[in-house]
Amino acid sequence: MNYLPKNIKVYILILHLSVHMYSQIVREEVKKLDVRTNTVCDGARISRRTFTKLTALGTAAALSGISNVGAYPMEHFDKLIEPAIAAPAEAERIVYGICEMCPFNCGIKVTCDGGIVKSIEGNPNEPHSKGKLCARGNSGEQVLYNPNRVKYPLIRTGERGAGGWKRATWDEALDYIAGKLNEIKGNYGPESIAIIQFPTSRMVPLVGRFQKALGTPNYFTSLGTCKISRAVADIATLGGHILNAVDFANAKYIMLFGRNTFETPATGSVQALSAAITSGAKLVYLDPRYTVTASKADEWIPIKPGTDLAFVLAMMNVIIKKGLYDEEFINTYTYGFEELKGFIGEYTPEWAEGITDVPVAQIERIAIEFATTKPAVAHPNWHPKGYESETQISRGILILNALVGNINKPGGIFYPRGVGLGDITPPAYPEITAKRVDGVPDKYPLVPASHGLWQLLPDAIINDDPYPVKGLIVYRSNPLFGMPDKNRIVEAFKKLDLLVAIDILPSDTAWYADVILPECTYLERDDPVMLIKGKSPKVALRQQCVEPMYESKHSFWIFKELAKRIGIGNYFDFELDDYINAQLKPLGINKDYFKENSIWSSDISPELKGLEGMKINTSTGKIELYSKKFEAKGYDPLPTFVPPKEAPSGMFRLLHGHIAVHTHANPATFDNAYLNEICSENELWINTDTAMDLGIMNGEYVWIENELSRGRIKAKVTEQIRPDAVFMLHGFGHLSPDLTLTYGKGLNDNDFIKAGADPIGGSCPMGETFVRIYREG
Amino acid sequence: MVYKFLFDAGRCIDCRACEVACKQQNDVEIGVRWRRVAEIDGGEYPDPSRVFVSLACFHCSRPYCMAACPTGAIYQRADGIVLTDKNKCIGCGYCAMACPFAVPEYGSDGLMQKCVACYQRIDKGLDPACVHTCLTDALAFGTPEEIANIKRERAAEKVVISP
Repeated sequence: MNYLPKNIKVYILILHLSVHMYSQIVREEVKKLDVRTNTVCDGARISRRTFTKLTALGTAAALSGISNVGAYPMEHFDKLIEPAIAAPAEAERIVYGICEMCPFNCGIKVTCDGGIVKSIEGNPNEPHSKGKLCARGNSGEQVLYNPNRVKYPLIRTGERGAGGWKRATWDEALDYIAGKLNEIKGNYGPESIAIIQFPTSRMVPLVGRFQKALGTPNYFTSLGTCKISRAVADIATLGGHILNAVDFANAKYIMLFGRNTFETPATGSVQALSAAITSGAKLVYLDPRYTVTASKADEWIPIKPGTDLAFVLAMMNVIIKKGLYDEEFINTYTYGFEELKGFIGEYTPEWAEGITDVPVAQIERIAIEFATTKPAVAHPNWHPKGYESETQISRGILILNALVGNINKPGGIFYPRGVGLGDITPPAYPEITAKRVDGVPDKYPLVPASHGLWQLLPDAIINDDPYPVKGLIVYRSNPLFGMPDKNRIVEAFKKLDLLVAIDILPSDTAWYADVILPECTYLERDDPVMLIKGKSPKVALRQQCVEPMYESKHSFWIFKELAKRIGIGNYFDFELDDYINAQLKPLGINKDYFKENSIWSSDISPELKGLEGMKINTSTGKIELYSKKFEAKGYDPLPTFVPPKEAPSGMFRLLHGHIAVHTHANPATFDNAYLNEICSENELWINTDTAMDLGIMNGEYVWIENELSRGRIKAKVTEQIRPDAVFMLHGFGHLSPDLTLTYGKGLNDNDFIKAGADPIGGSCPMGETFVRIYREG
Repeated sequence: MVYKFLFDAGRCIDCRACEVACKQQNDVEIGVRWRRVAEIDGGEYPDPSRVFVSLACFHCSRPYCMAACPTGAIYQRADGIVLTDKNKCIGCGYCAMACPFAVPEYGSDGLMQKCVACYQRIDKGLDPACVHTCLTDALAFGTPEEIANIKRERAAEKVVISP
């Protein structure tokens, strides 16, 4: 079992090393002591303490930044918070809500005391968290009480990106935006206004309503640099996107193709995978890097980057050739097995060995184990790190699951169940005749327009292709940081007549905006309802714990007020509570239900009983091993392997990924005192042999460079990565100086990545990135 | 009756939820970490290893820190939880030197502080915050008997599932 340290000696070693580490830490602390004693700022709560301390430092520094405009003097916070601590005005109370530190939206239980958030833990009745939260969820108060928050509406005074702001009233800011929007609409038509929002917002349906009422087709989420190809693969193969519906807990054999479950912690998946491992499931993990998940696997396969599909095809070849597939399942529920059988013949393990760097015998053994251990499951991944054939990689893994018949059964992938929510029927929308600027659906017919391909927007703006886009409303998204190639994005921003950022923290995009509108956090608001799809669906509600700080507002109010000012107020002729109640109406409950109950559970049985009697939403009504949809659109109906690009001589493939304490481009985890303390800077992982060849020492700063950018990053020389690839964490190298904790630390992987799209599913091929590495000087 | 932590390195996934839960529960200032996860790397490509160890105060039955403290600032509750009294602490650092695990740390006030095992939660019958939030049950807390039971159950499971 490599799930336990092999023997007691390891324990002793660990203990000795830990002691050494602790002594080091204490020595460092002692060294810092004389400095620290000067900044004593004692108080009852650290959140308040850091809050006031940092604010005091902030106000003492330059007053020009976003966070400092109109910042209260330090005494204000004492007035605001001190009485509440001294004499709690209201008794301690519990509010059930929904986390928003990452896209997973786990259920939370918040303890409030005297108008202050005292602690956040998981909601024990919510099926993902089950009462437990990750580090990010535990750190929520550091967003709520972050002194860097945008406090008031701000209008830019100097050049874009120069950091000059003037404090505005809400009326001034909204009138200014409305004036510009009306002007753009008059000059170029409503299609010249684009909207970007983060895709896991509870506000998605209402921002969508704003977009449709405005009459623009150009609505984007960040999925173009994420899992949009995977969604397209799911829809073509299974008839619907099943996202993360993988029943790890009941599986006996689990394969993860770079799905780094333990470092992208969805609380439910982590608990389920961990439970499976402790109850003896075998975990096979493929990744060029030895991640935390790899360290918990029975078998780590350092596969050559971008060749996962070759491995999957060779597995299928073995399974079909040896007749190990589930014949009954194939005959009853799938379409195209004969075509697949004919197609797979050439993809032998011998063929795959040369491509993947995995020996024939290992591929054969794993294929046999996967087909004969019941139940076995392969996670169809999220965003298989971006290759042009990403849609086909995802399809390959889905087909592999179908071959062993483990769909909608315990320990397999399954169709998550939901319930219908209500709506407030909007007045008829204006007809939208303009085409989208990203080529969806003409060039990308299968990409859902509900997400689009945001990475193609900057080029459209720069080239006025196919028409000018002059206004951009960015709702809590950070395209300047989260999309590839910032220079292009800045160039595009310069061509805009209006860039609005609605955000909590002064993000990179906000730094370049014309107007910034401060939104309140998930702890300061109610929100539209959260449908938790799963084996048995549940519904949760984000509920307000404390009053919004400063002049921050709910995004519902912001969009409603904007709508009023641009003549589409009739689409928002209701209050948020009315909308929530309308959503809940089909369940026979209203908002008050959540005052007494932490969650609503349906009476649908969570049992997974296979596919009998289920309607599969593909054209054949079956799981399509051979995709009729792809055939009709002129794409390869079978998952043909397309080799990744070879690294040019002297260059290394740049991989990127996550760590458990941080989330994507959202500054909420990076500019967060608790999480920044744990991981404040990214490093470049370089294999020891590679580093030796390049003369690079562990811990020194090195340069990486390609045709797009050049940057300095600390080297981490390690045995935990292939020699032909290097890796860096995503999310560092922020451009906004007002993110004071994270600004100037680390490097952004996106600076080196070209924007593009997988021709079928649209995901940006971010894995096709190569860099040169050299020492300083 | 005394309480002890149990830590299972095989289950720890370095997610740091324990560290952050501790901070928000106890308002531990930035720069001081009562619980900390250490990573021990080993092996060579393509057979490396990573082991993660989440460590806080062990709440020793015979605390060296308490014995070393010249002012009596460190004391032990009847349930074994070792606490520091800021009013008596003079910041000499003897406790940190005496502790085999270098657990006590200086705060920005120049005084020593360390894990309090979330005694406020214990007194309400709850687990410490770090244990409560641990996604993989790598951490547990309880009486020596409870801890022994957990370990034996886990060992028994391994016997059963071993090939």
